[in-house]
Formats: sequence, C-alpha cells, structure tokens
Amino acid sequence: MTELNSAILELYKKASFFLPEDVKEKLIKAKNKEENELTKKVFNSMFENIKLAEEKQTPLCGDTGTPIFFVSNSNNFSQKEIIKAVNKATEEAVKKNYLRPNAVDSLTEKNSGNCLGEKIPLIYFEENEKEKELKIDLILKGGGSENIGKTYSLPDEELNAERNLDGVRKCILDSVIKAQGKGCPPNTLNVVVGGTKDAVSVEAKKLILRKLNEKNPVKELQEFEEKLLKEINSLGIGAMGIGGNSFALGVKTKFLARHPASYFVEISFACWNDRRKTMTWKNGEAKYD
Amino acid sequence: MTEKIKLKIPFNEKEIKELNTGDFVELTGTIFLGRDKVHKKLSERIDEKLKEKLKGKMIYHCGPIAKKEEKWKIISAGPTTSIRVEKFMPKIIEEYKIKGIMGKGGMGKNTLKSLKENNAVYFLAVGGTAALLAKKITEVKNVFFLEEFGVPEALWEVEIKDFPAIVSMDSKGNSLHDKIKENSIKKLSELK
Repeated sequence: MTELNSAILELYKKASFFLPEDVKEKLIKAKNKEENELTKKVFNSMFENIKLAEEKQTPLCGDTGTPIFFVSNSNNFSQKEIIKAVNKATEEAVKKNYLRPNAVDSLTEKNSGNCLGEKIPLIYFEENEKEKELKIDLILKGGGSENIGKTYSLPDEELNAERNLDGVRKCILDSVIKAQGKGCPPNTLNVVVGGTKDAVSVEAKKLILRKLNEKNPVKELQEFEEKLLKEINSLGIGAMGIGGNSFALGVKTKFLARHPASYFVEISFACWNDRRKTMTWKNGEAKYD
Repeated sequence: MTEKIKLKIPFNEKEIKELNTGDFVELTGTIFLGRDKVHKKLSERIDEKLKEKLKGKMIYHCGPIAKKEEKWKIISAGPTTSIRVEKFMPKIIEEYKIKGIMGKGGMGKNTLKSLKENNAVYFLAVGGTAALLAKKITEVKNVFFLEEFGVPEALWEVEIKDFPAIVSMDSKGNSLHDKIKENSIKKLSELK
C-alpha cells in the first residue's frame, strides 16, 4: 500500500516528464503536413526533446506550469486530507526537480520556493459516485500559454461578433492572431461559452482533459471544431509562430447555460507540451492513465 | 535559407551584421540566463561589474530549473516569452553592449530599432524544449541575484555548446514575427 502523497508525487512525475500519447500523435501528424522547412526543424527539436525527457527523466519544459487538480471524491475521502497530500507531494516534487518552484506572492514578489501559495496548486473538487474511488486529474498549465488566453463578451462590435457560432468563430480567430508564437504553438484551443466569467474559465481548464482524439459529443460542434482547426491553420502562423500550417493541434468547445444578459467566450490555450495525467486511487493503490 | 551557421560568443560584429531572419544557427560560448526581474534590475541601475561581463555576449530569456550538487547544474532551460521585458530591452542592449538576445515569441518595435542601431540580433529558441536545450549548457560559471530572486529568476552565467536557434529579428530592421503577423492578418481578412 502506498501513501496518497507518494502516489500524487508519481502523478507529478508522469505529467512533467511524459507527453500524453494523443498529443504526440497529433504532433507527428502536424509535422508530416508541415511544408515550411524551418518549421520542420522546430518539430525535430520538439521530438528530440520528448525523447530526452523520457530517457533522462527530466521535465519536458522549463516551465512546469501551475499545477491544477480536478479531484473527484466521495465522503470516504476527506478534502482536507487530500489537500494535505497534494501539498506534501508538491513540496517533494520541487525537491526532486519534477517541478520548478512556480508560486510567487503577487504582493511581495517573493517566490515561496516550494511551489506552494494561495491557490497554488489550484484544486477543484467534485463528487465521485464511486464511493471507494478517488479520481485525480492533473494539468500542468504553462504560463506562456496561459497568458495568451482570452475572455470575450458578446456581442463585440469591434470584431463584428454576434451571439452565435459565427461570433464565437470570430473570437477564436482573433485570439489566434493576437497569440502568434507567444504561447508555444502548436497550441490546442479550449473554448467554452457561457454566462459567468468564472464558470467559463474553470470549464475551459477542464476541457484540457478531453483527449485530442476524442470527438465532441455534439455533432454540430464536432463540425464547428473541424472547420475552425482548418481555418486557424490556414493563417500561416505555424509551430512556434515562424510560419506554416501547424499552429493548432485541435479545437475543443463546450457550450454552457447562460444568464440571458451574458454571453462569454473563454479561450484557454494549451502549449504543445499539453501536460495532463489522471490517477485513480482505490484501496491504497494508484492507477495512472 | 542557409543550412546551419555556427557562431561563437562573444559575437563578432561582422558575423552579426550578416545574419538574416530565418537563419538557423548553432551558438557556442558564454551567455546569461535572465528573465523579468533581472531585466528590471539591470535597467534601473547600471551594474558596472556586470557591464564588463555582458559586453558582446547574449542574454537568454530563460528561467531554468537548476540543481546544486558539488557545482550548480542546469537541468531544464527552455525559453520564456520575451515581450514581457520589451520595456527594459533597448536600454540593456545599449548600456551593456549585448549583441544577442534569445527567447521566444519575438519582441517589439523598440527592441527592433535598438537591434538595428546597435548591430545586434534576436534569436528564437524552440519553446518547450527545455530538456534538449539544457543538454547544450555545459557549465554554470556564476549566478547573480540568487538570494534576492530565487532560482528561476536569478541571472545565470553559463557556457553553451552548439545551442540551436533561429534568427527571427536581424540587425537590419527585419522581424520574422512582424512578417508572419502581417501575413496572418491578411489571410484572416480573406477568410471573412
């Protein structure tokens, strides 16, 4: 039997060192389709990096991100105990260099040195219907890609964006033009539409967990996502913003309910190092997916 | 596009002048890793000792993961977004006489102008390839402001060998980033 904090430490390691298979597959496809010679070289560096991180057991990226947890627990698992285990694992992960200390006090500008601070790691809880099971999803959200994220409120006169799919499309394309190479493309765009700013941001983060080969359950949105992906890649920005057709690996969308007065479009970019890992914890044993 | 250009640091003025956007280079020599806080610090007060050290060299926008055993070792060293230090860059280029900047995402008008006036270039390192790039750092020579700023924000003096990068802003006023951006805006207008 393992302690929960050791299992979470392992989760950190897996997320930080190994890129998810679906992301790797999309990167290979993107490279094969890329025609810009310089951009192809960029892809070669990425693949070399993925291999090195796996072999040498080091973080894929220097920015190991903000750890964001989505925890699904039942009454059998106390939230307080889970938070304690997460914090302990985080401190340990910094000591072992799985994580960079990424928690800076916004007022004093002091780095805590252990990646712990107010709302870092960021932990969301929801109820798990399986009583004996604890499910923990971890996202390591890079700072560069986080910074290019955008929230639009429709209608937007400047973009000529109305409250409909075409309006959402205009927001997405605008965000890409503004992002260029800043958020380490190939990016994945996680787009959520809804009526409160906090709901759309949390759901956009959660959408990062949807695998790239997983289709949108809503047929209309599935087509919308495919069309948008093509349009985005036709803008010629390319991987790392140096030109080509490989800016985006995928577009994922979700539409929530909204207050009649509000219509927010949230776009959260994931960098090509789209790091996420899931752990299921049952009877003191961890399984990773 | 030329195949691969090998450059030594401290840079040679003539070699810098001949570089064009889109050139793929491999860099060898002494450079400095620094990010947000270092730039603010260096531009607010000119540090004479560092001025001596930085002359003719390069600042790489990077917040590394470093480990101290007998000596410091950089284990992860990918580029961070450069535009955040745009405000400080021209002054640092001028005062510290650096000839190269490296990072990701490119920089703005003022830096481009300063690169032209001071015969310097901006290199793009491939973002997110920290494991690969750390391997190209062969030695940590010094670390400054470690107490004050912590590991990722300190100023690190390191040796690099065959470090891969792309010239994305040259000393003649060209920016690959501006070109791609203008082109993408044009393409977007064609979509509508």
